[in-house]
Amino acid sequence: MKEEHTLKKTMESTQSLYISLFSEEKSDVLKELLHACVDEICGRPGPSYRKFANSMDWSRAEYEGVYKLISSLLRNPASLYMIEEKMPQEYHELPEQVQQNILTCLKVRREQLTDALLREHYKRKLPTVIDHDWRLKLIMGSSKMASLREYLLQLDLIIEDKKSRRIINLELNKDELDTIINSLEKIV
Amino acid sequence: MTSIKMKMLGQAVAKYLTEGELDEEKIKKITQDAKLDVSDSKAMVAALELIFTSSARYGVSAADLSSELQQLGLPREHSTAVARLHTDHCLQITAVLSSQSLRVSRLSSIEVLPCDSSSPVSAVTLKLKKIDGKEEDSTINISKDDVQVLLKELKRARALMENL
Repeated sequence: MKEEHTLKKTMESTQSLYISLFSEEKSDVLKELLHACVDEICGRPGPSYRKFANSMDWSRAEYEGVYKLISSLLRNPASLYMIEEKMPQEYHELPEQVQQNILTCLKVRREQLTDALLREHYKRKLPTVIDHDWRLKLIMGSSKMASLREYLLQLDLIIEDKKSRRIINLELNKDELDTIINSLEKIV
Repeated sequence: MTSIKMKMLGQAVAKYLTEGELDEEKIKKITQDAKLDVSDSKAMVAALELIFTSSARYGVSAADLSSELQQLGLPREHSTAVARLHTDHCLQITAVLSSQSLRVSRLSSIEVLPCDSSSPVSAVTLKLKKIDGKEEDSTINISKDDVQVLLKELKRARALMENL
């Protein structure tokens, strides 16, 4: 308990230190960092120290601190309400100007963030399709038949669960493709 | 060995190729009537099987098959009998051979699991038959938005299959 308390204390002091880095004139950098964090949550490449090292005078540790703070704020589902009272504790400790910037960013990216957080939630239950790819192949022959003309659709479903990402590979002929189309149509 | 017996033997072999079961009793009876010993009858069955599968595999016409067999020294009546059997069973044998052609991962069935209609994702169970013949089940989530995109692309692929 005591340890936790001191940890929180140090975190608070460092937080205020980092946040003072974000003065009014650096708000562009803050915006860029915010959106980069949202990108990362949505599964795209996120921010890196190297990218932000030149735009602001900070050490790697300072950058990591700010990045962690912003990222956890944006990841918190409570932030999506975009109402002052429901915002997480860390948010209220930030200066007014930073709060405004965070709210603006949330407003713009709210839908994407919701989708990303929902996807993360479903990933915890079952492997979830995150992408797909297909190639159409014309089979001209096989070991059993010297000349064939059969179409095969190679469908890759890229699925991801908590730990890993893998590919489910399907090879579909015309009939099997019809089956899958019919089944999927029931969902929509 | 008469051409009639050859025809009966050929029918048994063609049936084995299309339906997968070799009527050994029948073959024993035919070959014993023709006074063939066991190894000779085995050789005949194997030869007929080779003739039927290869001619289906390479799409040989009945006329070509018959004349080739005669060139190899088979009597005319026998060659005609084999060629006629080839004409009768070629389509089925071709279908069996194409279904046996290598497939890496064949879809056996797909099932959409019931879920809340307000839920943004659906769970789907795919049954796949892998290259080693083992069935593999995987249950996955797919968001309804993704299903729309996937469906659109699958339909495009379907149209491509029709038109090419």
